Order: sequence, then C-alpha cells, then structure tokens
Amino acid sequence: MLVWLTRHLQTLVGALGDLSRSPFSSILSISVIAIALALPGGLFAALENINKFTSEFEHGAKISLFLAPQVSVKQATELQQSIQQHASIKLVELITPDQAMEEFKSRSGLQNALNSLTSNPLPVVLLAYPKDEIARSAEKLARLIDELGKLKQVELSQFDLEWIKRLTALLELVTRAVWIIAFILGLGVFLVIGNTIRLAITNRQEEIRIIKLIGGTDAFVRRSFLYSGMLQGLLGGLLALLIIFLLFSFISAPTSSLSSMYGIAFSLDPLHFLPSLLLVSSGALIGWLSARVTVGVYLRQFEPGK
Amino acid sequence: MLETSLRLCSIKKTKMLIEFSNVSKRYPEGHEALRDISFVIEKGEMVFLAGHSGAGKSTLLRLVTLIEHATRGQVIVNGQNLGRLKRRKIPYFRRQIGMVFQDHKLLHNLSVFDNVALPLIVSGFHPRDLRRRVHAALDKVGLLNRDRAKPITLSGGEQQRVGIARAVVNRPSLLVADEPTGNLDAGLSDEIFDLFHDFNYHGVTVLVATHDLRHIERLGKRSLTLSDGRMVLQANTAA
Repeated sequence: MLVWLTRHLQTLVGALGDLSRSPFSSILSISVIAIALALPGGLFAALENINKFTSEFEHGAKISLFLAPQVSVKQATELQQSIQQHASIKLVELITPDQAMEEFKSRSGLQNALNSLTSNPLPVVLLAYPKDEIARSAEKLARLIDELGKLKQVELSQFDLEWIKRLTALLELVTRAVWIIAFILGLGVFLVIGNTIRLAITNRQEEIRIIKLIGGTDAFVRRSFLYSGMLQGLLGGLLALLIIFLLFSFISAPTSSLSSMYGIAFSLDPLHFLPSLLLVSSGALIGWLSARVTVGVYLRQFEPGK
Repeated sequence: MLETSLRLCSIKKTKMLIEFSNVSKRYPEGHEALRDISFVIEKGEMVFLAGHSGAGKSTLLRLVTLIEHATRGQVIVNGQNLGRLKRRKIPYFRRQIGMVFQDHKLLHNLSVFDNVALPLIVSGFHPRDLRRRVHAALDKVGLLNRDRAKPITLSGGEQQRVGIARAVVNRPSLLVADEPTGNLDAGLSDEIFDLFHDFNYHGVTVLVATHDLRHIERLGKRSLTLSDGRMVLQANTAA
C-alpha cells in the first residue's frame, strides 16, 4: 500500500515537473482548456441566477379560483380545506365576496357606484399557492391549474403569471442549449489534452521504448501520462473557475444597480461550491479519459513486430 | 524405456534456456533477416553470436527478447513459447532477461543511480531494498562512486557499464547483449567481456552478439555464426 502510494505520488510530482519544464506550451494548453470550460460554466452560472431571479416571482405565484355564484361561503370553506390537502398546494386563502367588495371599493375609486348596488355580485375566490417545485415547472403548473379548474364549484381558474410560465419554458430550452455547448466544448477539451499527450508521447518515445524493454507494463507507462492529462484538466478547471469569478465580479455591480432601479433586491451569485467542484472535477475527468484513450492508441506502436 | 525417455525429456526441459526450431524472420518490407535457424542454448552457458554486420545477429536477439515475433518456426525461452505469449505477459517475460545494447539506451535526464534502479522501479520493487540492490550492481561494474552523475558526463565505456549494471540489477537468468563493445577500444572491450564472463561464472546464461572474433577465441566459449540470415557454423572452442 505504502509502495503503491509513494509510486503514485512520485508520478504526480513527475507529471507536475513535466508541465513546468515546458511552461509556455503548458500555459497555452491549460488556457485553452480553461476558456473551453469557462464558457459553459459561466452560462450555467448565469442560468442559475436567472432561475433565482424568476423563483422570487414564483414564491408569489398563485392560482385564482373564481367559484360559481351559487357556492356559499360555508361550502367554499369546505372546498378550501379539501384543496389544502392537495399534494401540490402550499396554502389556500379564501376571499369572501364582502372582502373582495371592500378591496375593490378601496382600490378602484368606484366607491359610489358600487355603494348603489343592492346585492354583492362578486363570487367567493380561493387563492391557491402551489408548492415551489410545482411553480418552477411550467408543465406541472399547467396540469394543476387544469385540475383545479375542473372542480365543479370552480367557474374559472386563472394563473396570474403567464409570462413566468413562458420564461420557464424558455429557460428549459436555453438550459438544453447550454448542455449541448458544454458537450461540444468538453469534446474540445478532450481533443486538446489528447493532442498534448500525443506530443508528449512522441517526445518521450525513446524513454517509453526503454521502459518497455526492461519490463515496464503498459500500466506503468500509462500512469505518468494519465496524471499529466488529469493535471491539465484540473488546472484548466481551476483557471476556468477564476475566469468565471472575475467575469461575475465585473458585472455584479451594474446588475445590482440596474435591478435596484426596478425596485428589486437582486445580487449576482457566482458559482456555488458544488457546481464549482463539478466543473473542476469534470475537467480532471476529461483530462484523464483523454490521456487514457490517446495513450491506448499510441502505445500499440511499441508492440513486437509480426 | 518409456521411463528413461520421460526422464530425459524433463532433464532436457529444465536444462534448456533458449531453443530455436526452424525459425525464419521476414520483415514487413520484405527483407529476409533469418532463414531456418535451429539451435539450443542451455542454462548456465555463455554463447557468442558471430557474423558480419547484417548477418542477422541483431534480429536473432530481437526474437529472443520478443522485440520481434518470428515469422515461421518456434522460439522457446525459459520454457515459454514466445509465439503464444500473451501481449500483457510480455513485460513479465522481459523482467527475466537483462539486455545490453550497443548504444547503451540510457535515459539521459536521469542520474546513473536512477537509470540502474529503473528495472526495479518498473517491477514494483520495494524502495527499502532498492538502494542496496542498485549499489551492489554499480559496485559490480566499478561505478559506485559515480551514482549521482548524469550518463552524458561519463565516457563510452562507463556508460556501457551503467547499461550492464541496469541489465543485471534485476538478477535475470539470461543476459543478452548486442554488440556491447561496438564503439569501444580493445582495452575497454576486454573489461566488458570479462564482466560478462564473470556473470556467467556466477550462473547467468549469457548470449552476446559480436563481430569481434578476438573475444571468442580469448574466452573460449561456444559460438554460433550467422551469414546472410543462415546458421553457418556452431563451434565449441571451449572443448
């Protein structure tokens, strides 16, 4: 175990040494990797922020259920309690016709006209607040609105934030587009690392040949290249993280001042710990995989000739 | 009768280290380097491989060390049929053989010590015993005081001795050398061949390719002579 560990540590240090021996090309390829990782990483961070922004609206997302005129307040209270039991509902509020009339009078400025009415024509209204995870999904929300609208006491169910629904749908699309970009750029990182590994193999051909002659296994030869690929991916990931943080801090102040002009308290969040970790580790993973594939292909030339 | 032949068979098996049976080697570009070669080298023997350059000496050694596969015929080394050896077993096979090359094949970015330690490192030798083994090997070739030097700072003869130390550090049962003194003057050549002779005296089977007939006569060992890829002479000057 100790032997195994020291050997791996030696290889890691050796790989670091190899990178530092040709600093210019190392920095160049690590920068390319960083840019390729920073783009999808930054886009994901931006999406996270937009999601956070819209979710602040979603907290207030409510479905208004206008009940049929013949439904009494008592019946409406029973309905309120039964809807309250629904798994997707966080809270149901009841607005009696009288309350609604009062609010209407105070807000609309038609007080005198309304006073002349002999009876209250307004129905009972239930305000149903869906749970957050429902509010975030346009599809689930639509199903809930539809379901509540089908209740026989309900004459009309209405969702106030139609535009949120559309935005959520749009974000869904953008998220998928970002995944595609991430995949393509990930492939780019794979190829960039593969190319540096290929060059390293060419440069160290004689060394590989000698190691194989004195009984070094493929695994032994492979190890230093795997570390080198992993290290490049890891350093590229860390640099990408730095780029994202710099970009975000650059646009953070104008974003806050803009949103404050609209009366919204909104601040940009850079990538959180977990997504950051994910970014860096996927860089390392891509580097490792790329080195594994490249070395696998190029080691064949050192096999005995037929 | 049957019993005796079985016993003979098993003795034969344990005594043989290298056996070539009707071996031919044709390179992909069409050059026929070896034609119908058959011979046996027993454990503990020291055998010279003679012949002018281009006669096929190197190719023969490349077949023994499995750098190349034979095109036809059968090569058995240390009881293993090399034609049937699986790809991933090749490194473990090579660890039983010490190889010495004309151009030394040292790694110039490593120190003398690290060069000699390399076979032990690749075979996962415990670091605790590594230093002792490397120093023993360097001591044997008389370079113990140069262990920190870079190979490039050593003379040709010294570099070749580092190569020999690397070949024997793993205590292989077979030592194979391809023109080990090709670039050395007579005095240094003698030293190198005396080293091989000494290893052979201590039980290592040695197979050396050389075009220098002087050593063959001087040390009085068996020699196989190749010409144009054919075995033309199997002489035993030791007798």
